[in-house]
Amino acid sequence: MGTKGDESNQLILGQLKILFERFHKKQIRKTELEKNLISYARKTGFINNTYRKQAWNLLINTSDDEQYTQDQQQLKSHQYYEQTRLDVIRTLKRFPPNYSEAERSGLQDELIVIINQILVKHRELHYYQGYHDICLTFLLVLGNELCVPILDSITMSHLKYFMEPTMEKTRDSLNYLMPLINCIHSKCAEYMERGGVGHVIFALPWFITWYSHVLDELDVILRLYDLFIVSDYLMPIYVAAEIVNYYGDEILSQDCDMATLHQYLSCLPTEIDTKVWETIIERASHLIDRHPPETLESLASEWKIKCKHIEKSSPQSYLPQRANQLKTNSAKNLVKPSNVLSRVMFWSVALAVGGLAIYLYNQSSAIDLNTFLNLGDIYR
Amino acid sequence: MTESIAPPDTGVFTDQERPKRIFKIIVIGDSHVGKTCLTYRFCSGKFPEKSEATIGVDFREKTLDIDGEIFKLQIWDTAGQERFRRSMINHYYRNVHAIVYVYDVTNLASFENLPGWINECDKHVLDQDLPRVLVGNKCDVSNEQIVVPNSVAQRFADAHNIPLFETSAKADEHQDHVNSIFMLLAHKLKHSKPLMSQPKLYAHRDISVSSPTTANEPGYCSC
Repeated sequence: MGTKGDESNQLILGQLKILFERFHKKQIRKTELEKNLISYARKTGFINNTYRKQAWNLLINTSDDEQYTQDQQQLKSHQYYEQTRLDVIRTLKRFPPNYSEAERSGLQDELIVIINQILVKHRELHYYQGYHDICLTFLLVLGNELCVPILDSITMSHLKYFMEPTMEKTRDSLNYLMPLINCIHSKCAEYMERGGVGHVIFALPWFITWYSHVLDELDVILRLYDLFIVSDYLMPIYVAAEIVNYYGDEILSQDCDMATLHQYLSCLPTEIDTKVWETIIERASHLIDRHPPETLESLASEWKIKCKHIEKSSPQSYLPQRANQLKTNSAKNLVKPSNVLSRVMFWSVALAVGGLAIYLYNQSSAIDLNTFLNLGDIYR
Repeated sequence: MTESIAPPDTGVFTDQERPKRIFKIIVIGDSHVGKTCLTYRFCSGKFPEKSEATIGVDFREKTLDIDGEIFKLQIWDTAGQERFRRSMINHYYRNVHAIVYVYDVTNLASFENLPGWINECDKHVLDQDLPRVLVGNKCDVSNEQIVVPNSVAQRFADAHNIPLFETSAKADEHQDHVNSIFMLLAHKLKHSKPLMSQPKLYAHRDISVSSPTTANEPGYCSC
């Protein structure tokens, strides 16, 4: 954490200290403590690992009677043992620099066992490269003993979708990213789609490793984990949408080709400083409130329709358009009257829709304005 | 004939220097065979100190000067884990100009899985004449660690009509050898049909860049 935020961090640590003390003195109930901790997880994070460890332990429900095999033979015979071993031994970057070679090597051995304990317990789960990044983060915060049941629980609540026999569910979930970007920065979404990065593979490691595969700073990774453990499993997608939104203008200034955009977007999270992360997290929390996961299908349908239009319009017609209408709303591009007749039709329909809107507004004061406003980029 | 490998890209070209042609090369093979290290060795001239599993697709590029003509090789380094490639990375086969198959000479399974990779590639890439190379990586190890003998690999390569290179991304003395693999592809591509589709490049800062002749050409590989 930078020195700028130190003061406010001290304040938050003080508040967390009081909160835990009150709980230990039985002045507040567990439910109240949890409610408060969820709020900290979303708004500030837990700042240091002493409180983080306690908070994660409280917030992630585990059952006491879970058994995890210690049998080396059983662990080693698991179909993914060799793959996990190879992935873990080359995970060097993610270890904090203050760890000695011996400590790191010891932790790597523990990590291989932990991952396979979970995989042995849940035979239906399939290991994916990147799961080891998440497991390592939990191990670093919680230590070996506490880590396994908590990891088990978070795997079953947030990560099991990535561990199905195929990754189709993962791909489908990842595909909500473009509809969300379209909601908050439609011009950028259109630009990305035209540039050939609409399949958003650049965000795959963001999503399935909770950004821990791409970020270098452990503090930032842990801050994001605070948020993710108390959120829907799709939260990393909302964060991704707000990252793109925040850097929208920069994205629009890149060349509109797949290589340039993929490269720029892939590296984007590493460029974000702590303060900007907080802004992005705050916006992502608003975004998930405004467009909760159960509404994403309808956003996806809207996006699909728009994609068909993008596909139809050739790059040649797009270029001058971009130059002339750089500042105009891209929604206008959806209607391109090509002759006088269609122009007449267009304005007739526009007038009719406008008239209908005024009529409806006068008829019912209870109409939620948001339903009208949701069509545009009002979030920016 | 002059040819040299240009220093790592600055990403900025003047009009004369702007690469005339951009070639997209996809690197595939099992996980842990060294795809990332191989592409890093070629693009950066060194072995990466810390190389982790590739999740999704990584991208590297290198500008080459062949006979005074500037080419850009876009190298797409894909995730090896089967789970990813099934539903995730098929987009990356689009408009590809050349393919590098990689196996690990110390890992028999990675060699035995090559037919699977070739089949998958054939499904996505319609043009069977696309330049391809087969790379057996990690040959810096001692002889007893090598489990894929050269003779076996060569027979396989001949049967599929793919040139074979056994090399090491790790060993500095193999730098030239690694370069020559990609140079071979670059040369083949240079002399291939000029009508092949290029990766889309509409630099909106440079409105005139999309020439009408490139966009609607029959695709060299239109999968």
